[in-house]
Amino acid sequence: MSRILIANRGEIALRVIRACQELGHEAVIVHSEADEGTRPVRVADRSVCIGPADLNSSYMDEQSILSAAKMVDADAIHPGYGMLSENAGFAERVEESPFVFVGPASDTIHLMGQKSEARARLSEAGMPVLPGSDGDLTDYEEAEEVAEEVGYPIMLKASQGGGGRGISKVMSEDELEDQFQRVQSESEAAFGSEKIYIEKFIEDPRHIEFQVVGDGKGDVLHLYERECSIQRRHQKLLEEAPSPAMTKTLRDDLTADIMEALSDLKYSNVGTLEMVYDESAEEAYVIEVNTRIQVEHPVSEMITGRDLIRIQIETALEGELPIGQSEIDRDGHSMEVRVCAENPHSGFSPDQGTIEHLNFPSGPGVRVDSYIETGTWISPYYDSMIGKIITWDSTRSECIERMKRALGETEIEGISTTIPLFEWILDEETFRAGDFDTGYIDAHRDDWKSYLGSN
Amino acid sequence: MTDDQFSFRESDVRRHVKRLLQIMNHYDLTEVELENKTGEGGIHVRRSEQENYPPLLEGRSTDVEGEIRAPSIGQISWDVNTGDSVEANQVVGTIEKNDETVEVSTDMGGIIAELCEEEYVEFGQRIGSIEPKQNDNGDENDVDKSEQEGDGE
Repeated sequence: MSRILIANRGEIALRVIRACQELGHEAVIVHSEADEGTRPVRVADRSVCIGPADLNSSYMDEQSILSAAKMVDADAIHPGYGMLSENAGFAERVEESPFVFVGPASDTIHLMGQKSEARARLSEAGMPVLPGSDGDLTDYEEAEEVAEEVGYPIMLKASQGGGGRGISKVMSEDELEDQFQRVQSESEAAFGSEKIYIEKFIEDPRHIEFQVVGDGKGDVLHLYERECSIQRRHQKLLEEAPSPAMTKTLRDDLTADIMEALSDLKYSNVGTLEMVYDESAEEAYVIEVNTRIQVEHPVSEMITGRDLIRIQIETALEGELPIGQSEIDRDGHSMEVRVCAENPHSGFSPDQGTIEHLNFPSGPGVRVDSYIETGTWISPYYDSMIGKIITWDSTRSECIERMKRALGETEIEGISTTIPLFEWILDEETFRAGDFDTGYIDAHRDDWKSYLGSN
Repeated sequence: MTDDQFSFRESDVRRHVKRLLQIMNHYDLTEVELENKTGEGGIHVRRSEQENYPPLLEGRSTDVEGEIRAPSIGQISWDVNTGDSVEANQVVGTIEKNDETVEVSTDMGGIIAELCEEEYVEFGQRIGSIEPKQNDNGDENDVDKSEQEGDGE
């Protein structure tokens, strides 16, 4: 039995606790003062308060987390997603300590965090990447040259960016200079680096991603793709697997390329290759590799019947993959909606308050990953996502109906949530037909606003 | 009197509003709501903490007079012993938070009554206590009684 310290909170902390306990490991959770008494803290085998509510003084404080690991004599640290999960410096400090980091190697996290460098490495390894600059732009003149060569419109992106920040679309040469300076400043402010690069802009592509796991020695497996095109301001809202746009030929080609490239890179632990898919041209390009477990991992679990968190822990502790590719089959369709404490009637502003009444759905093919319960205080300190409702069924249309039923059963009182928006999406014709892209939410703004206004 | 017959002198309104703001400020209120004109409803007030901060179950950050709470998680070592006299804001120990050192200081002067003997402490954990010094009459917060009487025997 190993003792695993979980350096996160909320639903992912509870998800990791469950996997640890099912594997016979001891789950120790760190928590802030504001999370004292919450469900993950109560369910864990042991809990350690590491700081006040403020993120930087608790969940993001590397020294506190390493100190907690020493205090409980942990064997491994699981970072969850967000927080310190993609902080290469933290991963390196854990690697230098007696603890195992449940995630990719620090040098992989570092490489994939440098988006332009990662593009170059993935391209060398045979993955299709969007046309753009070779690495970071050295100056504005180079930006002009590359943009001319690639052809407008282009995207200017922060090399160390993420979460939809440090990105700007440039329609023509007239806009380039202003946008170049703006993205550089935004990148410096948000990520502490002025490094930016250029990528060809594809108008409203689909966002499709592949789930992978590697042992760090060249053995890699995949758990197929997820469709994540339903987004608002670059934040995913609803995900599903498989993608309605994926053909067998394209899937086979992409997974073969991915396996080869990640085997070359000696990728370790879980990762996600995010791709843009230009449906009209039938071309898919890798845009980045996320070196963490993703929020939307449950849909991959539902169609494969595999537990990614268990695989992640077993791979980290044993140094080898617990299963082979031949043991991973795909069956049916799965969908996930992210339930956020946001008010869809007032521009999706975060909502706060106490959950006064709660009834999550259940029944066949329904899974809920959430930490909230009646009485939980949704505080202003943390992310607004309070849980995920996931459904599975044999076909996509049945899965949609099941999700509608699940949302209909859901009762959350005390705060506003994003559920009404999903109710609209699930009934919308083009969504139901699987005919959508990343521009979907913007394109239907008037329709869903009208629906929300009357409900 | 009907609503139409209501009239306010501007100076009265200013005076009442000013008084209300003073009361709100004094009690740290952010909202005062009068339910209805008939008096059937009542008055609802809301303090700023209720709106902005989560209800902390143990209030680890809350200062409690006489308690020493760990300002950080980590390995603790004390510079004082129980029975020692300490001043307010005196550093009485340190916590090693991995590579960082965090000082533990007092919030009041007095006599160290308790010190935890654990090696590691959590953030906000009660790790010691201080009792006020007493004078000849047994009153608190005066000269240390033991210092006055100690050598006279």
